[in-house]
Amino acid sequence: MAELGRAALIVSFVLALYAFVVGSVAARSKRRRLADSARNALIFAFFSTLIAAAILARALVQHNFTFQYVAQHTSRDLSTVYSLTAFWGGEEGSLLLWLLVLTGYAALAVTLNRRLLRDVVTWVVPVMGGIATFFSFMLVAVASPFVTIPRVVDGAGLVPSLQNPYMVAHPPLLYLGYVGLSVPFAFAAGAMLSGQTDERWIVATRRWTLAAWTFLGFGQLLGAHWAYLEVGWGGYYSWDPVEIAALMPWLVATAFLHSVMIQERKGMLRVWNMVLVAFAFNLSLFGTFLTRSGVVNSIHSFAKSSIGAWFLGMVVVSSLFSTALIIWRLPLLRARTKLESALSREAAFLYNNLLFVALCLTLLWGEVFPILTQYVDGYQRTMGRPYFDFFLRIFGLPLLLLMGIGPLVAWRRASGRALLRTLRWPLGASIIAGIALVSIGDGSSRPGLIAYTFSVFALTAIVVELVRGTRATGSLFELIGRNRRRYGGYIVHAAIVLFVIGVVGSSDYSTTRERQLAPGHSMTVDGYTVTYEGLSHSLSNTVSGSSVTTTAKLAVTGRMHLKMGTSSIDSSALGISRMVGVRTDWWRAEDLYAILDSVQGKGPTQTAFIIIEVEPLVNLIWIAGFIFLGGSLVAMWPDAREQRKLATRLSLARA
Amino acid sequence: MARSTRSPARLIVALSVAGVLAVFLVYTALTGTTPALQPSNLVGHPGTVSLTGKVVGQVTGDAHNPTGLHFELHNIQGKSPIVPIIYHGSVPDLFESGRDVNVTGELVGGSFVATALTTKCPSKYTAQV
Repeated sequence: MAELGRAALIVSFVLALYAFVVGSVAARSKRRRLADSARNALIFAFFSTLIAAAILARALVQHNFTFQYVAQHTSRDLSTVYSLTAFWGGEEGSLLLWLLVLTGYAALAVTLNRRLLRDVVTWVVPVMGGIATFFSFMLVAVASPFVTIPRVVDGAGLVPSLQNPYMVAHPPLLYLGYVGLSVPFAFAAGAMLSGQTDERWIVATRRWTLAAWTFLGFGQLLGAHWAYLEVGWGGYYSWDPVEIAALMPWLVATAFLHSVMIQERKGMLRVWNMVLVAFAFNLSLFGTFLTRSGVVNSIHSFAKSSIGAWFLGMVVVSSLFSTALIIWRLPLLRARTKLESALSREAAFLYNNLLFVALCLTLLWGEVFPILTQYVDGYQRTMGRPYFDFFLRIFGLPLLLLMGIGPLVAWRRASGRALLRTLRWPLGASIIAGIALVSIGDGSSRPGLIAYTFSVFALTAIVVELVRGTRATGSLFELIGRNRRRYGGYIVHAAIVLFVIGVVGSSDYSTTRERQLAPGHSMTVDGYTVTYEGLSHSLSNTVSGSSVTTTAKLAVTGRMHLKMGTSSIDSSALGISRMVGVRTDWWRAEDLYAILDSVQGKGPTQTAFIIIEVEPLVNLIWIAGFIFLGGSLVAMWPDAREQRKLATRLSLARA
Repeated sequence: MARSTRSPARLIVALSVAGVLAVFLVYTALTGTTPALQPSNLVGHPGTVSLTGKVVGQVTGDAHNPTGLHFELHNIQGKSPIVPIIYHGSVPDLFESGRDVNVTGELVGGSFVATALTTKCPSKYTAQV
């Protein structure tokens, strides 16, 4: 079967190369039949990749240890679900998933838009074909998942902490996001190559961008929740280079989703949008380079591999290609109108974009700074958490404020007095919230206080908009149904505000206590009394060996009365895995988070080192994730009325 | 559609860029960075550093006792001087001899006194079986 997998990948490579080379010739010479054949090659590349993927999936599920990849990433006792997740558990499988998603997206995108955007799609095919050629080449020549070895009795298995439902969804969602950014990039490049730089490519790819952005955002949130529940350090985000690599393209895509609205409505920011879409795509490649090359020190110990250098090469080629295209097409990308006032909806979008890009660039600087210092000093100097926290506040807080101002400010030109009148409710609510927070003692963290007052400002602005719209239409659902894109966006804004409140609460107002406790002894944390009652041990046997789970029994009194028995240490042949105990006090909107750090002594008097954290509002982060998903779906949902309006406007613009 | 001959967009962008640069300058003037070293280039770097290496030999002691957890690090790749580590604090999952770890602290009298210890994430992307 491995031979068939290899053959399928070679076929994918040949078809992708055909789509790239022949597609370029056809687009340049305007030969329609040749262009159709290149498009078909790209579509069939998806099916051959699907065959390769099915072969690997079958080998994983059947524990076929003649596949080196299967032996490295699964074991006999691994359940079918986790055996299947090993598909993206290794480098070669991840690349195959990347190619599968890429060719699937490409096939769907060129098929759906072949009539509406024929001229542009003719050039989209070679661009997507070029990207697919790179990935299929990597799979054929550099990192094949179909390398065979003499059969081994059992595989290496998967470490326990990765056998978690979050890890089933987190990596593929990130891939769907990363790869999804290639679609708007290919259409932007296609628009420039074909000279059709009007707004049609944006209309055609808006939902693709939105979907990729949603996958990337939700995927990161799932990863954060996994870290919170599984890793056992009380946090969910550590500003690690690998985490930042996923955040950067999301930030740029967020800026892009906002600025395309200005291009659609006003014909402005056309160069800027091309830059953003190319930047987002190149950042997704750059992130893979950072992750795979091992050039930066990360707690995510992805093995150093040779594919890092290939990805760097691809980033360089792709960046040069994008830059050259934009410079070449500058005359076609001139704005039809100009910004009339610094106090207008358009200007608010521009500020928003500048802040997003500035935040992304500071993160990028934090990523490349260690690499640069390696060459200057001979060793790396890293930017720590303070650097990233500082710039998150510097750029994030104004963004939060703009989230409230933007939707309420008038298009074209607004007067200061009119704006103040519009903002009177959000302003009043945020001032009252600020005073209330200080009076109850939450002024201890100044950034936290500012973030909370800005959050109230933004939330009130959203409510004002919804109330105003509902009054006009008579129904909230009708209001949302009439302009799903706009109100879906507001739902996403509300999710972001809740997310910020959760992050600020759990980081600026959390309490941590740690103590070594003998059975029967207690510690008090922020109103909770936690009594350590002793340990229990359970033994479980698997094909790979035995595993001992040591659980600390905790009794909590005070604000919450409960028995906690889930803070445990699971030690097996694959190592130790801590499981934290988390209990939510919904009345106080906070988590009591318990970690059994270590155990000393033997017998019934064993002492335990227990860490207890109280995390206020942390659950808002996870709730916000689902609201974010709902808002994105509303914004993505097909809207015939909006499409008709846009089509009329575009035909008028072209006329 | 109304057109204007002068747009404030360029001014906004220019002021934004200047603002970002100013913030950068202020930040870098007020704060520092942490050298990320490995055992082979640790000597000659006083103050707090981040040290990455492989745990070798026996791990002894208790991270929650005053004497601390004792272990040794050498470079992840290749032979290098061995640095003795004394660590107080929470010990992460999968910490054991043979693991790649990162410690933050400073060199005091020949030993590296660490205040933070992280084990590299148990990634699925293993190099070999």
